[in-house]
Amino acid sequence: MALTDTAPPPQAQPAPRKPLSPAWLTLPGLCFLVFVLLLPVGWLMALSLKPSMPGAFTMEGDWTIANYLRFFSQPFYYSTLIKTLWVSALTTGITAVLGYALALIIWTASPAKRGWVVLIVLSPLLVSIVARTYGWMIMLGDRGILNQALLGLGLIEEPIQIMYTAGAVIIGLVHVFVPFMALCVLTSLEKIDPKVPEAAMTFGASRWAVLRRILLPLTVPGLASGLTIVFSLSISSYVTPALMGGPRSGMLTTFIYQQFAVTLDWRFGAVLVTLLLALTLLVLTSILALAARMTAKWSK
Amino acid sequence: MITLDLNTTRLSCPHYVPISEPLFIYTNNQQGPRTMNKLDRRSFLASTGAITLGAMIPGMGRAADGGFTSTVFGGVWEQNYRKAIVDGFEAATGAKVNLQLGSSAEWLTNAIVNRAEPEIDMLMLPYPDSIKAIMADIGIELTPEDIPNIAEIAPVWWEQYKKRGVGLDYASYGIAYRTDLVDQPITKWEDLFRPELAGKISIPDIGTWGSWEMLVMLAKLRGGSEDNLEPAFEALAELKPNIRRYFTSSTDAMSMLDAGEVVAVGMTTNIPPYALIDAGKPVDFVFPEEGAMVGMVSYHIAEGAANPELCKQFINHAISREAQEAFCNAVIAGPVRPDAKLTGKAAERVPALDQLTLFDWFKIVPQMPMLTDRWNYEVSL
Repeated sequence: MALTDTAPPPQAQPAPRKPLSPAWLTLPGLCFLVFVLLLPVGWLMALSLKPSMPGAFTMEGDWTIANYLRFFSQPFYYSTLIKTLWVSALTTGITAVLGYALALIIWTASPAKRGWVVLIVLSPLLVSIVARTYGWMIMLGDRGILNQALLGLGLIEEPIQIMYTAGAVIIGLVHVFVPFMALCVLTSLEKIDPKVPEAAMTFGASRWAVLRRILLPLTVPGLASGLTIVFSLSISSYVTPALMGGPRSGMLTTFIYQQFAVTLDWRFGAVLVTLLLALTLLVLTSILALAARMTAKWSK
Repeated sequence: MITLDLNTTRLSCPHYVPISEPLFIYTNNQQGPRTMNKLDRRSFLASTGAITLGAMIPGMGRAADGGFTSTVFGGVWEQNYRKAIVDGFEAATGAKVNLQLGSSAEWLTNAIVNRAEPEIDMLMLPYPDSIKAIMADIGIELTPEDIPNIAEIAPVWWEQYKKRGVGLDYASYGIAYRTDLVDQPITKWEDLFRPELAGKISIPDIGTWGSWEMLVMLAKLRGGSEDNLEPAFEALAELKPNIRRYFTSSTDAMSMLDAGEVVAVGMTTNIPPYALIDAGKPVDFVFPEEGAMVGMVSYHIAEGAANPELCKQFINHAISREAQEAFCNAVIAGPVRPDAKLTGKAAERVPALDQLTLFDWFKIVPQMPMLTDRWNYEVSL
C-alpha cells in the first residue's frame, strides 16, 4: 500500500502527435520553384504588357497590348513561330520513330548486350554541343564525308548543301534527343510481360499486329512522356539552331536572345517568351490529354 | 582581344555548394511514425529552406573581404589577364579581385538591374555594351587625379567614354580567308562581292561582335555614314548571294573556315584566324585596303561600388606600362599606352592605331533596335 501511496500520481498521457504528411517534404522544392521559376515567369508575362522600351526592365508605364499587336502585325515574327512549331513537331515525330525502335532493340537484347546498347544510345549526351556540331560538319559539310562519298560514287555532280539549313537543325536535334525518347519508351516496355506478345504470336498475330495492337497501346504513357520531353526541349533549344542553322532557319529562341541581349528590349522579348510558353503548354496539354484518353479504360 | 563567345565561355556559379556525402538518411521506422536519422524533419526543412533562400539572394557577402568584383572573359584570355595584371595587383595591395565570368550583355544587364546596389563593382565591357553602359549612366567619372596613368594613354580611350570609362586594349577587325580555295587573294571589302564567291562567305549575324562594324563599314563603302545606314542595307542585299551563313561567334566562324564550308569570313578580329594560321592551316588574315575597324575593352566603375578607390588603383595598375606590355604581348592586342612596346608576334600582328577606324558608337547604339528589326525582316530572311 505504501508503495501505492508514494507512487507518483498518474500523469495525463500526451496525445500522440499526428504525423505530418510526407508531402511537406516537397515544401523546399516548391518554394524554390515558386521563387526561381513561377515568379520570374509571371513577372516577365506582366512585363510583356508594358510599352516596348529598350533598356527598361521595370514595370513603369501603362498597361498595353501594343507588343502583342506588333508581334502579330509583323509576318516575320509569327512566321518564325510557325516555323519553330513545325521544326519542333518534325523533330519530335522523327525522334519518336527512332527512339521507339531503339527502345525495342534494347528491350529484346540479351542481358549481356543490353548495357552496351544503352551506352551507345546515350552517347550523344556525352559529347559537348560544340564538338557534336563540328562532327556533323565533318559528316554533312560541302567537303564532308557524305558529299565526298556521293561525289565519288558519281551520284551527284555538285555537293548537296545540308549544313546550315533547317534540315541540319532537325538532324542535330534528333541526334541528341533520341536517348530521351528511347529511355521513356523503355520504361513502359519493361512493365509488359514478355509472355503477352509471345502469346499473341502463338495465336497467329504478325509482328506488325503485335506492335500495333499490343505494344503501342501499352506503351502510351512512356511514349507520351517522351513526346512531351522531346517537344519541350526542341521548341526551347537555342544552341543547336544557332550553330547548325542557316540564314533562314532561325527559331524563336534565337530572337528571344536577340531581344534580351542585343536590343535590351525585354518587354518585347517577354512577348516572345509568353507566346512560346503558351504554345508549348498547349501542345503538351494536348499530348497528355490524348494519352489520358487512350489509357482511361486501364483504371476502370 | 575579343575572343569570347557564348558557346565557349564558362559561367561562374558563386553559390556552388559542394556536397561530398549524403545530408541525411531517411528510414521508414516500423516502431512509430516516419522519422529521420541524423537530421530531423524540422532541421531538414530549415536547412533546405536556408539553402533555397541563400541561392535566391545573389551577391551576399560580396566584397566583404576588402576586395572588389569585376568581370573577365574566359579561356586563355582569363589566364593571361590574371597572370599579367590581376596577380601583380593582388600581390602589391593584398586585396582580392573577384572575377566573374559570363557574357558582356549579362554583365551590363546586371549593372542596370542592380543599379541601386551593384553586384559588379567594376565592369569590363567591349563595344557596344561599353557605350550602352555610358548611355545608361553606369559608371562614375574617372579622372587623372584619381588614376594618374590616364594621362599616359591615347586620349581617345578615355574621352570617347565621356571620361566615365578607360580602355584596356584594342583589337582590329578584318577579313580571314582560305588561300587554297580562292583564285585571287582577298585584299579589300569589295572583294567579298566577287561573283565567284557566291554562297562561300560568312559575315556576323546581327548582335554578334563585328556586326555593327560591318553595317557601318558597308554604309561607308557605299557613301553612307553612322547617320545614314541605308546604303549598308543596299550593300547587304547585293552581298546576299555570296552569304553562306551569318556566323554567331568567332569559334563558329573559324570552324566553318577551317572545314572549308566558307572561303572567307568578313569582320573578324585578328586573334582567331591567327590561331588557325599558327596551326598550319592555309589561312590568311588581312586588314582591308578601305580600312579596318577597331575594337576596345574598357573599365567602368559602378556608382555605389563597394571599393571604388581600390577599383581606381586597379585601373591605374592595368594601364601601367609594365602591365600593358605584359598583357598585350600575351594576348596579341594593341595597348592603350603609346609608350608600351610590343614584341614578337604582337609586334608583327597588331596594327598601329592610326591604321584603324573608330566610328561614333553613340550614333549607332540608339539605332540598334531599329537596325535589328530591319536586319530580321530584310537580311536574315
